[in-house]
Amino acid sequence: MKKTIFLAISIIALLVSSAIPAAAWTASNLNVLSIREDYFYNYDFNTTDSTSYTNTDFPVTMLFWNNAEIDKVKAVYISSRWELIGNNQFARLNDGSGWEWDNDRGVKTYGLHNCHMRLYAPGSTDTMYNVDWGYYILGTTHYDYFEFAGGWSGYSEDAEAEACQTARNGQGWGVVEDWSTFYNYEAYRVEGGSHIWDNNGLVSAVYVP
Amino acid sequence: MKGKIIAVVMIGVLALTIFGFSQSTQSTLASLVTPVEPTVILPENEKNLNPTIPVLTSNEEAKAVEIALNDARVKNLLEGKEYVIGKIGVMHTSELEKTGAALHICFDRPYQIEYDWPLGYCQSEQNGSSPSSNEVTLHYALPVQTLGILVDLENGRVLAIRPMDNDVGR
Repeated sequence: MKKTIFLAISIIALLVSSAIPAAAWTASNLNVLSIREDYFYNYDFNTTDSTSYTNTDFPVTMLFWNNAEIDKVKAVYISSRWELIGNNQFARLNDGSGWEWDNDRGVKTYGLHNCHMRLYAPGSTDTMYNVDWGYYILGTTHYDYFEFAGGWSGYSEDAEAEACQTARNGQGWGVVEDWSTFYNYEAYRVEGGSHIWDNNGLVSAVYVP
Repeated sequence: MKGKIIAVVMIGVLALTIFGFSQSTQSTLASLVTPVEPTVILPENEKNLNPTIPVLTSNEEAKAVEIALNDARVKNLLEGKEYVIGKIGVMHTSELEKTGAALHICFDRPYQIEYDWPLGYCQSEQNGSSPSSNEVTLHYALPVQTLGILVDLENGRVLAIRPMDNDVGR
């Protein structure tokens, strides 16, 4: 019975999804952060057209550090029943040798209500490096509700907690939740009816062995 | 007797040694899992200066709660359940025009609720305007811990009732 209901929901969702354009949203605390020779923006972006606060998607909430690499981290989430799916968003990064864009679809949990995490590092290496953080990547998190039916997305803070829990339980990685400010606090607010901002501005650090 | 005293002292010394070692190990581990913090610098160019996001006044917050709790559909969903009012925030367009309020009603536990739950909204909302009545719904039962309510303050009506499971939005 439950499967039938969700199948019906999925079909309806697909039928109404075609009218939904990708949208950009308005960050209230877009900043560039630096660590050693590296720089990065503290939100991801909807397109590579600009780094304006009107072109953002979600705040950066996750730092995987020490020995992190995109595929390595995703593999852990996939082994915890997350899947490789989603539409691309973009991060603006500088690993000490110039600014570049990276895109990622991310990994998400199953279901019409799901937790979605996008992971970013320059595409040529899938990781960044400095002596303080070692090999590291950055992540944004949010929940999606009926997204293919024009539902709503958001709650970065709660999704960050679920991503941390998976890192901790999946591989026993050391997680320091809400470790440090990334200067991207977002009070609870709803933009355009469907983009829900909510972030305490503190990123979680996951130590990847 | 003397032997017993020596044994107690030795156990004490051993316990202190283990405790000290444990503290030392913990501090070593703590340093391993605490990276150096980044610093914020000026954005690349001036266009990244951040906007002023609209906010709700305390009167608007109170009005939003009143409108929500007086809505017949919300009343029906709350009947017989313990709840508290959770987060309250502004609802606005991408042009930063205030269009209403959003609030959470948090239950004491998850409830299985059968209702015409929304699947989403049509294009007008996605483009940044206010949510309208063109809501797509499906009647089914869902475990709900929190209700997300969108309120049109100007016209005094509830625009949407959204279900959230687990601890999302609490």
